[in-house]
Amino acid sequence: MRKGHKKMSRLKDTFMGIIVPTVIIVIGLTIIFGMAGLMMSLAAILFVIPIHLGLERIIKDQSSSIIISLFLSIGIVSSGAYYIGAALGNLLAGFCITVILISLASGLTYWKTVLKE
Amino acid sequence: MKTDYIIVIVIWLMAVFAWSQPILTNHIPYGEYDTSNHYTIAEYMASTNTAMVKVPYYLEEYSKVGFGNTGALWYPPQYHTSAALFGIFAQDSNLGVYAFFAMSTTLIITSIFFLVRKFYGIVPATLSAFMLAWSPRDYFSYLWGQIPQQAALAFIPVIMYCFYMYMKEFVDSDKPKKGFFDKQSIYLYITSLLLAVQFFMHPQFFLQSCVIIGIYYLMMVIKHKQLFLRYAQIGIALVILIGVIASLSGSNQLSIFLGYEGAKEEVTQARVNVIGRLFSWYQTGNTSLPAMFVDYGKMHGNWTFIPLIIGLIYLLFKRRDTDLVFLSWFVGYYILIHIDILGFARVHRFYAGEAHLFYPLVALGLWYLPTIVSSFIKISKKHIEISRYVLAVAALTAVIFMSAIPSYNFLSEAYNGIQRLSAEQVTAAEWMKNNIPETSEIRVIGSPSAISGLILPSIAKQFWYQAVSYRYTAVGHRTEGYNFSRITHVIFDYTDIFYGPFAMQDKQALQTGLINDEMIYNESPLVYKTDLIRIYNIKDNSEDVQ
Repeated sequence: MRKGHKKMSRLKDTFMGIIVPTVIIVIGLTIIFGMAGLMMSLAAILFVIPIHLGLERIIKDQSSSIIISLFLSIGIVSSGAYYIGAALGNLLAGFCITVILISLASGLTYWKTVLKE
Repeated sequence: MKTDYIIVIVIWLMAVFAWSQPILTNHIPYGEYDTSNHYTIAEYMASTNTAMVKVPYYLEEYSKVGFGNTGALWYPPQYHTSAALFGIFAQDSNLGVYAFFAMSTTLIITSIFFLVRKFYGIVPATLSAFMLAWSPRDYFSYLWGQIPQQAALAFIPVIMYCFYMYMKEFVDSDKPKKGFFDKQSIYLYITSLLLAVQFFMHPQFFLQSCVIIGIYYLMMVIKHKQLFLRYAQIGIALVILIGVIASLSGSNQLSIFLGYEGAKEEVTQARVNVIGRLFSWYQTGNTSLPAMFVDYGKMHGNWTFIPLIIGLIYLLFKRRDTDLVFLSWFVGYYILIHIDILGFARVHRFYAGEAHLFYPLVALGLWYLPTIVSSFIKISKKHIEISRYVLAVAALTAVIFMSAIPSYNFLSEAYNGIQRLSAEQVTAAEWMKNNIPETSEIRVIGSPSAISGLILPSIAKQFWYQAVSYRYTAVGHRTEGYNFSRITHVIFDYTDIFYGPFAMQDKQALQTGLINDEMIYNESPLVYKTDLIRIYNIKDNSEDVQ
């Protein structure tokens, strides 16, 4: 397999792995809670996926990474949202900045492990 | 792996749907005193889109009593912040906060599924997760408001998996690496991080994880006859754990945790009869728990007992490293539910996680029963396999009829009566939020408790007045040392008498008593008046209020 194909295949594995659970959760929560459920699934995705993308490259086990990210996110993302949000006087802004920072860190990890291979 | 995702998410969504019934059928917030506390912090942050660093005026009194705070949040902020963010995203803070409560307290389904799937396969994992979705121990604790506690309990399987992976690397490798950031050490650091986050959810269950990890470590040392010590890695893990807790848990959480009186307050019955207590599973004489909560049959179903024992014996005989995870959990749980012998209160809180340990053991007992039988009677591999699936289907059917359907019916009906604020009470509370000063202090009169001894629902309702109105309501144990002359508004509430399940003559007597009480405030300005609720501004003659 060519090097470029290998990278694409890794990327595909990572994203396909999260698409199935994400789609089921979005549909499920929307059925249960209506539009509020749809928006809450977006929140859940923003909590978990940025951490998972980085962690998955470190521990190289997709299911472990998803579940660990899920549990870590309740503490890590909320800490960032709370403290940055307190500094800015806006909780949602604190959340957005935290998600961006974690995404950058995960992107860096991803770049170092997959794209540099 | 995709099948795994589908199974666990479907079970989890089913539980979220069932557990959310009380808020889906009626959007008015509900629950006991503890729920009102968690709700009001999260909902306030969601409605105002602010991080609650200093508590608002109406919660200041709460932060002082029992916790010695001076206006600081008395919980680590992470759980309530997450709930608030869901409230913001949902664009309906009530629904969002309660949805997060349901989603986070049912996370144990995903973590148990994950652990059992990794160790024993998909069928025991599915059975364990499905049983947990309908565990009365869990949904009662959730309904009673021990919500961050239930979220904290869900961390234990994931923490144990990460610690197991760390130890596994030692066992599997002849020469474990000594580096700081290799695959082996990463799992230890993740364990530390997860422990820190679990501390944010509930410190008591952080202790439980530490005890289980300690016991697992000792079992592994004895089994493999090596110490598994890498000082540098352990040092980094401890720095992560202490650093994260100290820096992110809030201004005074460590002092609250270390000095919390509730953890060492009781001279219990257990200290009088130590031997008897060691052979008794549940604490007796704890009046804060309903009898059914410590009744094995009512909580787990009597039919689960034999598979539970079989599962436990099977693991004791096998003693693989994976089996030791559950055995150490069992030993740790036994120790912790008996520490009332040392005088610790709150051991009953550990019961809330009992099903998390027992149901996987039940599932394993059923799954491995044919294998155990085959060691006494010759059975072909094919028949063992068929028997396993037959037992699993039988157990699932039993759970559906004996647990799932009754649980769903119960959850659908929960908090439908006078235990929840009525529409009139919500309107009055919202009027207060919009029309009286933030520094107002309220007394609610008219709750049936004062007259007829119906204590619990009415006291919780007065807390709910506070949660919805964002105004301090002087009620319950949080008024220790409170000077009642500070009361500025008195609410006369006839709602519970009107809607309550009283006989007509009792209703009339209650109503007459309340009317007589109300006459005392005739001179004060009546600022809010409906058929059932009247609010007086008494700030000019506050000496009348006792």
